[in-house]
Amino acid sequence: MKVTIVNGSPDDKWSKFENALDRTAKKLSKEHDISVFNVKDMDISFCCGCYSCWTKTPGRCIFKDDMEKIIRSAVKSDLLLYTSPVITGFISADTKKIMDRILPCALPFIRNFNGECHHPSRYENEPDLGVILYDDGKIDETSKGLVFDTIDRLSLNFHADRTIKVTATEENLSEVLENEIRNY
Amino acid sequence: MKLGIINGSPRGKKSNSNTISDWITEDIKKYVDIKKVFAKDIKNHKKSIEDMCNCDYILMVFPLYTDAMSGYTKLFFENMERARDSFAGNPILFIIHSGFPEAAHSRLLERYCKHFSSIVGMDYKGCIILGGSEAIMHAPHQYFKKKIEALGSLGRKILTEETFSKEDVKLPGHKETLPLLTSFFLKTFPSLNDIFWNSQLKKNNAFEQRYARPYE
Repeated sequence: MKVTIVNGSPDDKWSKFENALDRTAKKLSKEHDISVFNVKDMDISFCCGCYSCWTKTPGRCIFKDDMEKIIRSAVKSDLLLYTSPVITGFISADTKKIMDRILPCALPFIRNFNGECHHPSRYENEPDLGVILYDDGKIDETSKGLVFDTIDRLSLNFHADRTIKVTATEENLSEVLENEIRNY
Repeated sequence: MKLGIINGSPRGKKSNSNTISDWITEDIKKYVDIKKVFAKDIKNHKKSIEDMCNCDYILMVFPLYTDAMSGYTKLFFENMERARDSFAGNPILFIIHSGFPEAAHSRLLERYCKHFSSIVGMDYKGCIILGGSEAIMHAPHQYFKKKIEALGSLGRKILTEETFSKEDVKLPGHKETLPLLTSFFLKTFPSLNDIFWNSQLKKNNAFEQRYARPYE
């Protein structure tokens, strides 16, 4: 199974989660193809909304930066998993930035999918989507519900068959991630 | 009244958000002192937030972006929370627009806007959802005459700091879900909907590559 993990923790405050994520990814790599991307260590611009990836260079973003590495991995994956702290009631801006930059993987055209307008996928492979929220003991139910519901909405736009939506503390992140991947 | 406008579009000054905020303030700009800031201008977030703290009323306009706010807008929200004491109690009205015709896509983001207002302790005045907004940039503005009038009328209500009711926020042409007829046409003649995008692709000599998969 190929898994792309995008870690959107913006600073070292979340380093314990990040270390646990790296350790677990290494362990799981013995059985699976796991790629972890730490957004804060990468050179990735915010999407500027120019639609070049739809109308000028189809499938390619106007920015030549590290996002290409994530997209190359994601389009071949069975699962695209975001890990993020909850900041200001939602996933971090760094995590959202990556969700925005996935746009070249969709086609500009609009189709009717079960009575709603959505974009068809550019690639034949459509990875399932997931999120693991870093539970620092301060996550409220409203924020958690908003993030989980957003993953459900994203799964409609990116035609994912399944979603993973969980929280994990720094102590049980390894266990949660291992269980989710092994039971997938 | 000092009216602060936060433009959350990744396109900044050349955005549909900017046009929409201009339509809202068209009639009231003589009576209010308007300060506009851009979430895209990351280097100046600190100054922008100081400017917004000094306003009596905040209007935040931004597009739906992959099912939520854009990364730029999310960063602005995070930076606003850092200054939450200065925003507490101030009124805020949100306008969310999207290229999709149905408002249903933006309802989740509407929930977030309400949640955000409570996080920073602001006085949530409502959230207006505008569908089909990508056309604003490409079609003549007389095509949007009814919407422009309705937004101008909403703008006048800002002066009285009214809280917007569910009826207020339904602009002319509002579609909560895809109308049956549109749904039928999209199912039966999907390529009709491609005309706009295909014309853009052709203009850029990229039509033949429209289904390209460069990262496969």
